[in-house]
Amino acid sequence: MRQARGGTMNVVILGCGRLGAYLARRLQEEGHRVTVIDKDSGAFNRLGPGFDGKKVVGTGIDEDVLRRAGIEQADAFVAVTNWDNTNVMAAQVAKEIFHVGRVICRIYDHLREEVYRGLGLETLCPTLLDGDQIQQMLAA
Amino acid sequence: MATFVIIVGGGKVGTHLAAVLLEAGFRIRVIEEHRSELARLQRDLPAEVVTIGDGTDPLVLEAAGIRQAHVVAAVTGLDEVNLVITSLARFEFGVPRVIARVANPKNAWMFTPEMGVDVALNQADMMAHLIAEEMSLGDMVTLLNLRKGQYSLVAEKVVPGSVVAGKALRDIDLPDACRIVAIIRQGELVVPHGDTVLQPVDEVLALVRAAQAAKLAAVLGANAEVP
Repeated sequence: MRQARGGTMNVVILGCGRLGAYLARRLQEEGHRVTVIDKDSGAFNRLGPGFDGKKVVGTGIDEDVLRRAGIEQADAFVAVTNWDNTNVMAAQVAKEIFHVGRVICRIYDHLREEVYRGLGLETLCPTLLDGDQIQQMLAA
Repeated sequence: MATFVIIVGGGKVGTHLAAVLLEAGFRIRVIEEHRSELARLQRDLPAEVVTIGDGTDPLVLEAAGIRQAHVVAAVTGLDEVNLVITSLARFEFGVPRVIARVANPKNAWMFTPEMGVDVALNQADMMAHLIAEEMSLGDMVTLLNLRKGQYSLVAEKVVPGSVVAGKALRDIDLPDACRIVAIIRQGELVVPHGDTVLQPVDEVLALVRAAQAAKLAAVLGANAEVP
């Protein structure tokens, strides 16, 4: 069982934007093995000098790119590019083809998020999360 | 009432499809978001059928009338976009017939009913097979078996550079139980005589005793020695 609770996980993160880079650093600090994919190699600068995980340049909806990123050994796959459609498709590939145990997918559009949650993807929608949070802050 | 088709993607494929469907009397709407394509769309299609916007946005799809659509065709050049459209069309809007274009043949496996796709059209794959078919010279095809397979009507294309290309029929050493009955040259029938000269890519139709078909194939398919 690769995915021992509290043990070390192999995590592949698609999209090295602010969220992807932050998550990569945090997971590495917790002792996990992290690989980051981005189509723009310049995006890896966000990881900072302390990051020693693998960096793969390429698009995340390509099976070969995902293989190079070690998705076959991954315990978790996180799709957090800025493009909902890319995240959805990459998550489907990770789940259906590579049978990654945990697949998490960011979708900004809350209508689309609802649909794909219904289709069995583990999704999160920053628009809804932020909206709820702000509403609560205003109510407090 | 005419069948209502929503086409997402107003590139060359989408525009051509729209024109064909309009001509055939369908009711259509084309959704396109890129300004660069809009000029051509507006020139080639009536203004009222074009919706400007992102076809993966459920609100844009609703504005285009997807709840009344009988068919959705997702024909953008991006597979991730086409697949989001198909799954929204099927699972969010219940469109009865969903058709998608596969832009990159590597992604074809994703175009399944689970993604809302009824029919996936893999352009590159179709082209590749058609081209391969056109190139399949030297393969003998059996058109008809006679007398329980004792005799066959076969067809074979003359390979450029083969021994028989450029030879008159009377000079070709055919098996004895074999008769060349027709030659199709550039789509036209040529009735063969002894002095008919075979040309590359001629389609040769022959009646042959089944036992000698392999020998005939060897004669027609033999490559000339490279000097």
